Amino acid sequence: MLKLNNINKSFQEKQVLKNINLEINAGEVFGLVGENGAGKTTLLNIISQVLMPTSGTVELDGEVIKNLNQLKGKVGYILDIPALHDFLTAREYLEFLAAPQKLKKEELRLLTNTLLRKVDLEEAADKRIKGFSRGMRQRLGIAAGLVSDPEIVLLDEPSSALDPKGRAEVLSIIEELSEEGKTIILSTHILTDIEKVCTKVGLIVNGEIQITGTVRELLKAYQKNVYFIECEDENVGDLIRELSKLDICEKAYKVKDGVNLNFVNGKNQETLKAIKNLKTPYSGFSLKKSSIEEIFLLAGNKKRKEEKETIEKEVNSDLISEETKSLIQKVLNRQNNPSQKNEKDKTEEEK
Amino acid sequence: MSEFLAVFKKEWREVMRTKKFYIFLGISLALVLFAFAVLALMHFLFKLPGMEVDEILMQTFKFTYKNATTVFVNFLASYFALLLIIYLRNYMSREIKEKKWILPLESGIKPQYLVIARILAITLTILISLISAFILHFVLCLIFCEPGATMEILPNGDFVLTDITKGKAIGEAFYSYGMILVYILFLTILILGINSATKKPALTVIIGLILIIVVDSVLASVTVKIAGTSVALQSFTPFVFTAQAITKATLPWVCWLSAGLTTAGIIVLMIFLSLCAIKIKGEKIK
Repeated sequence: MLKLNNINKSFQEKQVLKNINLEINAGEVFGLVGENGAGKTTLLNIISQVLMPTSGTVELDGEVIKNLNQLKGKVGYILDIPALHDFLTAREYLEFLAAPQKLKKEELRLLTNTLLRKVDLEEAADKRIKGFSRGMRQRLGIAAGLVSDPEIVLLDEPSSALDPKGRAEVLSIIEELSEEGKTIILSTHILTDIEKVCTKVGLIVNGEIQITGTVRELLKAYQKNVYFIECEDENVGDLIRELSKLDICEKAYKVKDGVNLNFVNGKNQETLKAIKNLKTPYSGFSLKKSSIEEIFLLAGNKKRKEEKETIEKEVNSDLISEETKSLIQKVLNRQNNPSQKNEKDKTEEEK
Repeated sequence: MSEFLAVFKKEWREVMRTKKFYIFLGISLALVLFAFAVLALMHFLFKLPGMEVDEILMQTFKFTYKNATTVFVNFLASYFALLLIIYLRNYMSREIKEKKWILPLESGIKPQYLVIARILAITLTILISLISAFILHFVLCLIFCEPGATMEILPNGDFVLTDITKGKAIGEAFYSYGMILVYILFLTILILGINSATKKPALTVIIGLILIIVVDSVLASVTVKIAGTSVALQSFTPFVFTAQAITKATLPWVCWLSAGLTTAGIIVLMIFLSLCAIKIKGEKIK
């Protein structure tokens, strides 16, 4: 079991991780979700001992990990952009990484062939890495992370820069690794990947873990009935504004092809009536369960709302000029409602 | 294959496949030809009609082993050293910055192997390049050069030229090769160590230039008396090798001892700094 106890990390004045406590059991596929800059990579760097925490400990099977030596061969860390040696062939690179195992030539060949087959790079085995595509480099990075047959595999946004085919290939590899019993920590901001492969997930917002649990637990705890209202892109902003004014509305937010409406519990009939009376044009609506993606989106928004309230208190103090207050307010409004266009954008569109 | 050999093999592949080997070899050989070209230019320039040059001064531009070696060694001590500083300015830090050592360390490769193999590969490259250049230089000397003469100052102040034997000329040439080789190898490891410690290419270049230009000049201009002889402070430091390559002056044994110890000490320190650098301590937020 991998355990993180009160992990804090600061760089100079800025605290990037705050009191992270996590337990990841052997064989789990843990999805670490968060936006860019939330602290996912920093957390993975700390787990892999590339970085030391400012305070707190990392424990592996009850042993406190203090340096890289203790993790040798136990952890495979695959970076978002794998740092590979372009002048080597794929096979040569894996053979280089396998050096500590002191294998015989035949055994080395067998190992590299197995790894390359696992990531579907057998045909490119003797080609220089320099000529590899982004997807091939990512897959080779995964193979490289598996050379020492580690118990724990850390993947930092393995599919973020890949096309759909590449993503599917990487996810398939992750599923295979999971079936082999490896513990996987996958950091990503692509929530659909989480639903496909993860047994447990955690949302990290501004360096803090907001919610954790298995996908089933999270859906059970946070999943709600929502109305999906299908409409054209141009009507989304108006629809959100109109819905937000309703008493039954908890949250209205943009999703693909329309808007989701989280309504007050027990107000289904009133909500149905309100939707039918909407003035903004829409093409249809349906009742559904919120997905894990939507749960995380709301949890992240909640955190941002709390932070916004803190900032607003400070903004409304007498210490700041009116001009500065106005500027900060505009920025906060844009952050909170990205679908709202400002006057300049609207004017440009009209032109 | 042993772990270290496997790591060294990867470093050697880098040196060959990224053309570093050919670049250093090319530059070394080019400097030999350039040195001879300059010597030839001066030699024939002073032979032009109307150019009346003193016989003593002409000795400086004759095709002798000494002159050919002096020009070549000067080029190595200046141009080659400068190129070395610029080319190696991020040789160690780049690997750390690009995170290329994370996967090898995680897979169990010893950090000291990564560092030493990298230093060894580039040092070997420079060694082979210089030896090749020395061979070319020596062959050209055999073809074009005469043993030459040494200049002696008589008690009455007159200069006298005394012929030297071919054996002695060749011996002096090899002595110069040896001295400049030690200096260049020392400089290589020094720059790698500075780069490992600072992790900043620009700072590496600045420190390198300060050392080889300013510090060397200052040490050369400050003298101390040893057993009645004035000796420059430079003679006690690794910079003595480049001076010896050119002047071949006789030095007290204590100078050699000091230079040897400081050279070895600095090399060990630079390797130690390189080993410390691989401990990735932290990242700056961008």
